[in-house]
Amino acid sequence: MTPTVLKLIALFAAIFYYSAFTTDLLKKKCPVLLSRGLWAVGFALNATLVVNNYLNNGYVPFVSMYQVLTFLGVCFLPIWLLMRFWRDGGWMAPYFMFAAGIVMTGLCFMDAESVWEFAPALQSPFFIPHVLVYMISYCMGAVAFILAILSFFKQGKEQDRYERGVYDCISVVFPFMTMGLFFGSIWANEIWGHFWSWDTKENFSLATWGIYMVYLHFGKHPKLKKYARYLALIGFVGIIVTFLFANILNTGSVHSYSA
Amino acid sequence: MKALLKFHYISYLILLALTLVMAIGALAAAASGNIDVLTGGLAVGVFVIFAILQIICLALYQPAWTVYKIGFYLLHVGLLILLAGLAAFTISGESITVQVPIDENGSYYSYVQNEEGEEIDLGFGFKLDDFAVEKYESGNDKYYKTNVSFADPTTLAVDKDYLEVNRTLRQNGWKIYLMSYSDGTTNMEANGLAQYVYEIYNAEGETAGNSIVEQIYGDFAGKWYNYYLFDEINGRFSPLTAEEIGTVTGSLWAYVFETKTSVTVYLTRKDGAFAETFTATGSQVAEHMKQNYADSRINYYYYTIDMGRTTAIDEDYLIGQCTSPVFVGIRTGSAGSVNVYVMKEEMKPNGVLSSTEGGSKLLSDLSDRYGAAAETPQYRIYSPAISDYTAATEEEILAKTGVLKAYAVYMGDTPVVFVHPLSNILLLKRDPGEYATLAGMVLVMTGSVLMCLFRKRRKEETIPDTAVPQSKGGKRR
Repeated sequence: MTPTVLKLIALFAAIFYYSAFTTDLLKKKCPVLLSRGLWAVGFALNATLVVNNYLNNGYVPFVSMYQVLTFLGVCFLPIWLLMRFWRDGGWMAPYFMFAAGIVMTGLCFMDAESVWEFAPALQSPFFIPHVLVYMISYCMGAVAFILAILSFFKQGKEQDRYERGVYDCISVVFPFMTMGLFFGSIWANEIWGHFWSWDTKENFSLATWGIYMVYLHFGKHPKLKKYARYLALIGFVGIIVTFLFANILNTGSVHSYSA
Repeated sequence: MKALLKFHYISYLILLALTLVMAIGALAAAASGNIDVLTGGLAVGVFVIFAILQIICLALYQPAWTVYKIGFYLLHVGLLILLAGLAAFTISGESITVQVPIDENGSYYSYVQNEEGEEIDLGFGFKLDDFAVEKYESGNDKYYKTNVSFADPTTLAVDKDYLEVNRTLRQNGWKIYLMSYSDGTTNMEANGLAQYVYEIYNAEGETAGNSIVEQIYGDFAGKWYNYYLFDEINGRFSPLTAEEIGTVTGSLWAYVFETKTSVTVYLTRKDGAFAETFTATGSQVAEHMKQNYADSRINYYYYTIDMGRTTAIDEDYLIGQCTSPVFVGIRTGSAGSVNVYVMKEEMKPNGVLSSTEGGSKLLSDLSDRYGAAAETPQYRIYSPAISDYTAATEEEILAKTGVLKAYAVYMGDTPVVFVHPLSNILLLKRDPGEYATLAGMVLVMTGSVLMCLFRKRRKEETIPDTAVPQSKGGKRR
């Protein structure tokens, strides 16, 4: 596929995600099935990009920032399905749709680097689990961020529901982020000879992990609970800095494969 | 209960403070490009307080026995084990980078030098036999592999294996990593500094320093000058004024380093000849000294060029860190001591070429080496009458006969590439806390999964049905 076609697919995926989000919010006027159908089409277009990246690369398409973002987009729907059954999280659907739309929008402004060299350092069994678990945690971190913002505009039981939604999301973020951190650390020890190298991306990921850890502690304390959602906001800022800006701030990052 | 809640209140705030310290440290390190902000005392302090919090938390928190509680213990105990593992490496671990040539017929390396300059006996010998690299069309590496031979020092049994980027080997408590490789190319602009080397030779022992001052003034007009003379007794460079330099007699080497505004000149006596000189990597130097000067006290000196410093530099060098080839000069001293002078090869003249066949052969050799890069070669011939070099034409050099030596100094813009033997950069690591760190990580991961994903919702946490939006058909969404 040409870069133009890839960008068009990303654009349409974003449009379908936003359409699903809008129709879901207009639930009194639109049937649920329409919203879900639009989401499914957006997901299918997004998945097409992932498959295209895989076919072009010949290996799991996690190498460039473009590939990782493409994959991040498809994570939202399956994770929402799990949340729906695990924590009655069906009501969070529009926020998963919106977050996926944002990711696809970002993709429209990027060079479609569907082919990327697979550096020797990346040829490790830890590569897939390291990126995969981080994608899951980032995905949930984004939804937690949206819910935390909305909780400020809600009252009473509605506010409680959104705050619990944030807690449920971060209950997924934290263990997966822990796994991502340690899979990366074990991998680093196998390839560079140290578990930790104080690399920019590593430092921000540790700080972000710490923020979510503090969130979970605050969320259980009667006096500190009211401040917890601020940490959910800061945590997502940490994710953005770790995921996007760490490579920009420090070009010498050992994680520069994905820059 | 109230006291417990108060303890949690305080400990959670401390936890927040530690996290903020890490986050601010991460920002500062990223902005300054200097990780020293985060390492050292700050990291130790944060981790020690963090460990103390874990211990107090484990002692005080007593939840009911559920999956959550199992997760709680696994996570917090795991964090302590993890920190203990990292501390064990920090206290007694070793991590040494060495550059080892690929040479199937070479000798085995059994000593390496750590960052403190100590020679470490590995307890086994190793050599690199063969190396293969596969590249993408762009020229970037796709895959590389090195065949290694290990020799047992007592039985002399040889064991063969191979290293890849993600495939380490373990030997006698050491873990060996293939970090990178070098095809031996380097260039004189590596440090971003223009470098010049003069040989100021004065056979009559006259005012050699004066010649240097004149020559430096002529070539680097309008700049700030710093002069240092190597003090053989104290083994360090000491600063001198231009007037003091002018009175120094004898034969001198001058190494000149130039920035946009200043010129720094390092002078060494030329009459204190080296017993032997060679070019080698740090690990080779350590091996050579061990084999040939085992009974002597060995002192290492490394000439470090740091343009920002005004004090003399005399660091005992960490030869193990010399992963690219270095120039080595060895002097046998008094009382059974041996002094080893190590300098980055870029500090030497680009080449010292000798010819027994006169000027024509010398020019031919120079052309072979620098022909492509040197667009307008300039020649100088030393004149004992004026204790200085004077400009010479090619014809004048061609007319020379007999034994000649040329100190070639390349000053052009195009990097000159020197070819050294193919070699691998290896990391040798001994980590007594490795398994503890790994076990701690596994426990923390398991604990976090049990605590977060397998915790049962308390009744009050269950979302009331009334709060769940209903779809048009009244079905639960």
